[in-house]
Amino acid sequence: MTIRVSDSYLANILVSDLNRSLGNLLKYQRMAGSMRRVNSFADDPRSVAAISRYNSLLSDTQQYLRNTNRSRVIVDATDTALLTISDLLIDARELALRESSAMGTADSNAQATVVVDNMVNQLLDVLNSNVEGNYIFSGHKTSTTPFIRNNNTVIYQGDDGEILTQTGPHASTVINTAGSVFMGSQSATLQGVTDLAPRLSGTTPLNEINLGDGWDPGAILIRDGGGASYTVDLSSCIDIDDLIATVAADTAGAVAVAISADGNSLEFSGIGPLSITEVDEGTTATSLGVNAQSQAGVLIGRDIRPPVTAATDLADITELAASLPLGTIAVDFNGTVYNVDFSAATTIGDLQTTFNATVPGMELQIFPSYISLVAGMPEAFTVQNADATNTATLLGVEGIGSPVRLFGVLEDLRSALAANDKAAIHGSMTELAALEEMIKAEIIRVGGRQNKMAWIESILMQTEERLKSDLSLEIDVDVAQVASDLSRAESVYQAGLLVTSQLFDQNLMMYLR
Amino acid sequence: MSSLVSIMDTSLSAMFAARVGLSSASHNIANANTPGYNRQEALFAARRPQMMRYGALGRGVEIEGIRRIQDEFLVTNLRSQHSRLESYTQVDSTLYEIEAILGSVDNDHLGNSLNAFFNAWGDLSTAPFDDSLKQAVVSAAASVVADFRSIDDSLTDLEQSIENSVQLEIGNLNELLGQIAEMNKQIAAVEVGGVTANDLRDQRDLLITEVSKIAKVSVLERDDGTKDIILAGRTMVTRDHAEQFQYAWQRNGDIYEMTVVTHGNMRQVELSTGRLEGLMSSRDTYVTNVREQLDEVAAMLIEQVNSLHVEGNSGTTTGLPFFTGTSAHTIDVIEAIKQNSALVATSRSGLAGDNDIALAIAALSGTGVTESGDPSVGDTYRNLLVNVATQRSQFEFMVENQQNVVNAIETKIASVSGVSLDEEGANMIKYQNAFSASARVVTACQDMYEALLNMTA
Repeated sequence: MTIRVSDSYLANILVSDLNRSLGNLLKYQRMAGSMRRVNSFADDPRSVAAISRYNSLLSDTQQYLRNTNRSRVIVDATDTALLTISDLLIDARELALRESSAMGTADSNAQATVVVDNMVNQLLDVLNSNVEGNYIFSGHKTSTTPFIRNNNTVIYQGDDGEILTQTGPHASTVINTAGSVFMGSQSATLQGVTDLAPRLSGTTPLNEINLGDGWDPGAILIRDGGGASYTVDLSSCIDIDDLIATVAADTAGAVAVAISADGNSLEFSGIGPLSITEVDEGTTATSLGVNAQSQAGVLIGRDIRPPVTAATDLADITELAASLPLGTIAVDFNGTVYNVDFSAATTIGDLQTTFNATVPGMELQIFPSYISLVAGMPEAFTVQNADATNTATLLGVEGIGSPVRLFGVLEDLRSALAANDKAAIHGSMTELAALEEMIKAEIIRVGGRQNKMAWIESILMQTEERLKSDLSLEIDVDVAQVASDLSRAESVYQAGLLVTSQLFDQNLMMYLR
Repeated sequence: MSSLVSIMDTSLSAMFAARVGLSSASHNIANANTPGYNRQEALFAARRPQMMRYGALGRGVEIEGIRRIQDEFLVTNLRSQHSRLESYTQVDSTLYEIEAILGSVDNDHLGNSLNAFFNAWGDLSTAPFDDSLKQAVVSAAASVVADFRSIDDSLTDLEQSIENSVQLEIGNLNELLGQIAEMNKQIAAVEVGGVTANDLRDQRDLLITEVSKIAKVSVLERDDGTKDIILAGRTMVTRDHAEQFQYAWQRNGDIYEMTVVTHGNMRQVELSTGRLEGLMSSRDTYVTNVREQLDEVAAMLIEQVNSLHVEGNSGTTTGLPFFTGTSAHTIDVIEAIKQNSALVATSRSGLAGDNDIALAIAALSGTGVTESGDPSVGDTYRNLLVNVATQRSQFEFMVENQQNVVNAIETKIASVSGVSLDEEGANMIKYQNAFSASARVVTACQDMYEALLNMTA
């Protein structure tokens, strides 16, 4: 049936169509004007959630970056102070060596007394370092001068407090070194220097990697040189074998995972170049040490070994594997030499049991990547190899375990110099050497913090860039696309106007005479 | 046998009919753009024939009436769809205002100030001894409080604006009902003589359509041509008498009780669609929901920050909360901290370098759940944004869709009842030709008369 076309019918349709065209034109003009794809909540409700979330994540990430940058000032100041202390101790030991030798005279000893006195003052200055008026070695008592000298005795006024900084969601890092570590204590310690973290194996639980810090379960995105990309959900993996099987299954064998030859990390292989990134805002790839790309077909991640525990098999420790069985070490403690025979030991726990049973008053303590020998009294002890197996060297515990008496030893040296007691001057060198080792260990620890913070900073900067990019994808327009859409909408609207203007020009009345 | 007089009479009836037809076309052309006008047409019928020996002899044409062309079904449907459209439009408009109150997509004020507040705690955690950073925390908290209150105040203003609009619409509705009653009176007076008051009916229908935009309406036509107007099941216009609406509302705790009552007995009336219903549901449902969610965000912020801050030791005080209040309207930083930012606690120990409390409060930011397992303040606020965005998108779509429905019906009505100038032009020619032809018959009759007279002369 032919529809009856009245003038208002015609006008309704044309106005409705023109309105639609104009609405379209306005939409694209608004996009082009703001360069935003989403200008109103109603434009894309899903994006509103994503944009708000990205903004929040970006704000948090920038805050973590600021935290990291500010905290690095304290870590760097601590590092500088420790290096200065190390230099001072070396100078003190050289001075003791010189004055205890034939070169030392009563006069030179007297002059050296002044030098040592100055060293104590220098040490005080260094240990009382502050950042913006806040003492870096006071523990939590940052407004209290940590070290004060009262006559010839130095007193520590701070505490053992650890200062943390937030470097990620639910993640924080210790940034300070409490001054108590430099002062006399109730024990003597010899910290091992050998890295005893065991190799990765297929049965290594993922929640124990990264020296026990574990991982962040989730998915990773793998892209290979063939243009393929695979999103692999690893959240149900329990151990390394699960991870290897999941990647093989989800990539249909295109990407393989293995434990690296040195046993420290994961090794991904496929068509190069390979890249592995996070999915959404996850940190799974980073926690597995494989958030990286490789031009070759093999991508080797960073060290993610698990921690040393009592159950750790000695054969799983790279540094020891070739030298088993271990032999005997000699511990000179409290006037007695104890020979500790480790030949029957197969685990770190065996070492601990044997040592603790053999040397009364001392114990072997296990840390995530090393062991320490600790005496229960402030009495120095010595550890040496007792046979050709060099077991003490292998375990990294060859040397002197000392109570920490940073100022005490210098006071003793000053007194010995004043008394021109060459034996006592010479005797102080042993403790000075032990102190140097202790400071070196502390420098290594602080260096580790610096490296960790640099790594965190790098990750945070990458995260910031990625979030900005993701945010841009959500909110910004595709300029070429919107220009094209705008041009088309203008043409459609102009055509509509032209048709409308011409349509009403024509009717029967024009032809009636 | 027909006489010349009767032939002339037949022609005269045709000329009269043509004049009426032309007049009707002229009326249509004149009202081509009159809102609510329904085209009219003259109804012609052959006169009753004169019975002769040889059969029925036609006696010309007569006007039976002027018909108003209207599809009642379409008009009723249009009113119903108009009611729905106005309701959706009102809610959409309210949600648009709520969106503006919350801020733009990439710069929502409260979201930014919440981020700045937690960042200030993050900054303080890096230097917990720094009094200027404590002051920065207090300033950031003041911004959060100001934003909560600003949104709350704006929502209150919006509610007030809606109430004013409801009052205005009630006034409009009462005015329209009164006009319809008056039109009923005039129509009844005209049609008592059997004549259809086409133009008055058009005007009344237009008024009823306007009523339908304010509230869903039912219409009952009586034999005398008057129409009863029924709103929400209650007859508001009967012949020439109109009831008046009165608007009343009260707030019962957090619940709004908003009703429209008739003046006489104050009984509640529930409206299903239309602008009034849209205004009321805007306030009772959408504004109220946003306020509740905003209060939830504020309460969560107050509870989470206070539960940590009371454990803190500022060095001079312990057990001090940070915020006071329970909602977006009442949230504030406690007076003692406003007066002295040094009372901001950064740790449980109260030691200058300790920052465990500052770290814990800074960690309340972010996405997902907090360390204590509670949803984060930011995520709860984001839920509010997403709810508003989803509702906005939903209603924008519904308005557009409903507008299309209304347009389609209006177009269909225009097709049936609208004036076509082409059609009227053709009618003009038709009636003009009919008139000319009838006049020609009269001329022929006159010639015949003259011939007869000449024969007798």
